[in-house]
Amino acid sequence: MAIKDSKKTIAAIAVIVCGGLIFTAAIVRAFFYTEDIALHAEIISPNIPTELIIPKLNIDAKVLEMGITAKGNMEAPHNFTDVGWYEYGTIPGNIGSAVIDGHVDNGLSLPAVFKNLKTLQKGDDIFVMESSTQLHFVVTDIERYYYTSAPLSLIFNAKDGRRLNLITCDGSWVTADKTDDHRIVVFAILKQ
Amino acid sequence: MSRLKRIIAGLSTLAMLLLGASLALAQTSTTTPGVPTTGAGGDAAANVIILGVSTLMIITGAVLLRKEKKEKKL
Repeated sequence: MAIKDSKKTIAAIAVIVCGGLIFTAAIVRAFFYTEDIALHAEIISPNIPTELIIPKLNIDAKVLEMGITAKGNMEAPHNFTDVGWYEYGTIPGNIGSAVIDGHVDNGLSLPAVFKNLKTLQKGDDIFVMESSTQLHFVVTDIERYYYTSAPLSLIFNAKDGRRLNLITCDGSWVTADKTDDHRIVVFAILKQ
Repeated sequence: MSRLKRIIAGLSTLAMLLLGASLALAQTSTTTPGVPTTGAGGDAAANVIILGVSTLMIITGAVLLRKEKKEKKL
């Protein structure tokens, strides 16, 4: 009888422990974003971006350095409140295209930092902090691209000005690729 | 001894060349990445189900444990 009781107790404890482990894993899955990263650079320049401010959207986000994923894509932040600067590209304020990405929603579909990015309009202000310097960019265009046919050269390599491009996801979920099927890109240029 | 030195020098030159080539290749491939994956909301339904099931497991376990304790007291 006593052995049977202790077996029941052990079973109950096992169910609680398993449930707890699965619950923790689900929370991590919903609130932390992870990808296999292939390349990360060691940036030694003092002028790397540290903060992104978009007054219209009430965004004041920390800027993280992003490398390249194992699939060859730009890395995305591991959380849903910070944004990421493509560290192999242009430093904001220099000639070229500096790219900053941010999530649109988290694993529970709750809004992330760039939830309202597509509501920006031409002429809106974007500020980037680099150590003690504040750079002022102005939105010039907002585009929506299908995820497999986005103009990568235009987004990452345009050299016709001191550009800043913000990127996030949009559209419907593609289960096979575990991603949304569109990207919103906000093109901005440094205000002289 | 000098032959050993020559072999070591040759191997180090080869290693330098391979390192240089791999760095150059890495540099080329890093210029234009693909677009990032910046949304996780598509997994929301699955995550909510997992959270619900695991919560049920915890509650069931706790209820069973309490029942056991009560039975033991009696």
